[in-house]
Amino acid sequence: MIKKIFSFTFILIFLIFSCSSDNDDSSSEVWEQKSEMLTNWADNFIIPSHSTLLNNLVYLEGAGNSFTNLPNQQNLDSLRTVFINAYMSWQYVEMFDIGPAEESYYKSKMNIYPTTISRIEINIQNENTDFNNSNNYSAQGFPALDYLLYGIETSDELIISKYNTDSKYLSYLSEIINQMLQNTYPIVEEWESYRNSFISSVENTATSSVNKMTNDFIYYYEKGFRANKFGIPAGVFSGGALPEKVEAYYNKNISKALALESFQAIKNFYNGNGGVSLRQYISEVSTAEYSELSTDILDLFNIAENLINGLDDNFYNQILTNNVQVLEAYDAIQQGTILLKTDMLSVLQIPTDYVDADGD
Amino acid sequence: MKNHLLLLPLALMTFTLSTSEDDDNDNNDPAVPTIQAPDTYSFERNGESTISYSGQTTRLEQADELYAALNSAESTASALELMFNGSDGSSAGFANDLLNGTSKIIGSKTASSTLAGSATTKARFGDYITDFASNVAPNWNMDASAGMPGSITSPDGSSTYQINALGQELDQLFFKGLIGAFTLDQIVNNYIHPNQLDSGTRIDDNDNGVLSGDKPYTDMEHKWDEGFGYLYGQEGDLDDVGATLGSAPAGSGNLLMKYFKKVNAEGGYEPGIGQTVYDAFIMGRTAIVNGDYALRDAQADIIQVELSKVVGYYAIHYLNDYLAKVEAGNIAKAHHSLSEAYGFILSLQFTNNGNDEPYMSKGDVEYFLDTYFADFHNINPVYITAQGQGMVDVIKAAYGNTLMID
Repeated sequence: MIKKIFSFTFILIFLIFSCSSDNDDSSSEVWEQKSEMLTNWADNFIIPSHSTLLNNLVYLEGAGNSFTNLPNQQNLDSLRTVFINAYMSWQYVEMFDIGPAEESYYKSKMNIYPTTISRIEINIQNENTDFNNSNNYSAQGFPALDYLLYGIETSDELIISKYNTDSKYLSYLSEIINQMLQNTYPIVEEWESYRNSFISSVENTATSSVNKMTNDFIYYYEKGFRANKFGIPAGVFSGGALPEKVEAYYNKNISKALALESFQAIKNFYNGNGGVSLRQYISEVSTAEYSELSTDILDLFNIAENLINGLDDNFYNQILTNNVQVLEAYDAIQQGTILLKTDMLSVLQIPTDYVDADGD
Repeated sequence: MKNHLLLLPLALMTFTLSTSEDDDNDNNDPAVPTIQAPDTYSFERNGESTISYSGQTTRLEQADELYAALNSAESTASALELMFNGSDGSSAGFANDLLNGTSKIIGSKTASSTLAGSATTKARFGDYITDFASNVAPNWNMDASAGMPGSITSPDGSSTYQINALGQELDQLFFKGLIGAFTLDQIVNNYIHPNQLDSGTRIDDNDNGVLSGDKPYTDMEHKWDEGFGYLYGQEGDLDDVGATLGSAPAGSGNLLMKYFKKVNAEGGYEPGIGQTVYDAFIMGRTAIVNGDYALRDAQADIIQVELSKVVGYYAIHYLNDYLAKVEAGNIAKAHHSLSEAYGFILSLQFTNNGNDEPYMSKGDVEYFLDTYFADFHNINPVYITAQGQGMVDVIKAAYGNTLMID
């Protein structure tokens, strides 16, 4: 934990900055470092992660077409395999809710869970494919596919039979896959032009890329990872546990794998994977009081990951049989929230740009 | 952990007043504060009071009903759970219908701050409810003994308590635990902390007088009030009690205020703490009105330290009381006092020493509770009394020996 008393050197350093120029963190080194970090984020994380996802969605479309032409077990199995691959690659994308993705509500269209089954069924019966209607955000994307591939009936045989007898199901399935591609293409394209404005936005303002992306990263850690994958299904925010709210609920077996993949994405982004990212940036600008912060965060990530590894592959089962283990993992992840949101942002002098509704 | 950005201008002021040529620091003007705070917690904008903490009062009133329910043989697990956690995000299960159907839910604010929140600690409260409803309530009229839940009465017949198989009075574990996990945590680790006060656009909004929707206050003013409300929310109308809240808080309710009042009272452990805390709330709120966030945070530090002491004082108080009751042969009251002590010790992890650290960590708290105090029928007094190692000395040391208690 960190004391708020400043070392004299820190004051001295800040004093020099504040007197030398017109910006609050204007040392050319810091400036350069931020620019390097943004370039690394764009070129080695955001753009390639979207490309990988897009490729996997193209495979998904192919497998979807095969299944639509011939709904049998073999084609269902292939479709499920590419679905899982695509869902895994999505874990590397969800945190980048910035620029074109933010404007198009991309994240909401791709991964709101639990999916709304009643809405899906109504859409199927009415052949409604208005996927830009926000009421339908929770009736599309990966969670809707999870339902359509694993949940519409109680056995593979019955699922296949349903697709063979009711063509409306088949068409909704291909519409959803198609829509996921339609959601993703423009973002991949727009990043080509958005990249330059993204990497040049190094100033310390609420709308600069550094501030926004850092906030988006922490928001993803706190909400997309901590709350959605663990806290909500484990009942942290409600009375009892809500195990049916795990990610990929209908698949039953990949909730842990998705969570670990997401954690890998978080760690990669934090570490920079050979380039400059938050870890290096913290080390560069941290004061004596925060000198251990960049490694403290890594240590905590490892503790949390070990606890997650100890959980059942199927979080649904884990919550029903021994929820305390999930709560322990949640608590470890929460310690990371403190380090990232309170300590790291303090070191980087970046204000939080989001608030939690507190019901008062 | 505090937002250094806000403290910097003050530090700079001290060192750079005449050396820096450009003065474009946009946070707060370095005019040396000559801010005048009002005598009472009273703040207005355009003639209208800007103070609001009704949500806190609602939760504190809900807590009173829950406390009563944890003392009734009629209570079921589902009814208690409903009062604690509501249903689908809405409060429910209270006799006073004004407490139902609101977004105010005690459970959603239990062990929930960013700084000290913990899902496993919150789960302990759920476990107490389950244990009470499944084991204590059905055995209300049985005689309690080691391994057997039931009732236990003091030798003079004046007091009867219901305890679980481990000899713990669960409503005391629950409520003394809530003092830390709910009221104290919400104040010192949430509402008066920059994590809450400064998030989103709240600094800019407060600087520019941007109000919260159609309300007469800024978001930051309101968050500070909500912290205030978790302590003073049942003390009555500020127009009536505002003048005496500092010198003589009434101690209403069953949570932090109840013991804060005792610490402050004449003959209490620290008379004057009431005025210190009240004045800090007033000055902090005044600082917000004036956009002076360094001054605000300095007041928050005072509140964090002072309110945290209440938990330390009463953890030790009830440990001492336990020993006295054992000595006097009053086993029923000994169980009662140790249950209170247990809850206060549980609360220690939610204290804040002004540097955003608890006086005792969650890990230490759990170690002591789970090893020293796991079974109340089998307590080794050395765990409490041993010099340096016993629980009393450990708590004193955790507070840097600042507590004025033997």
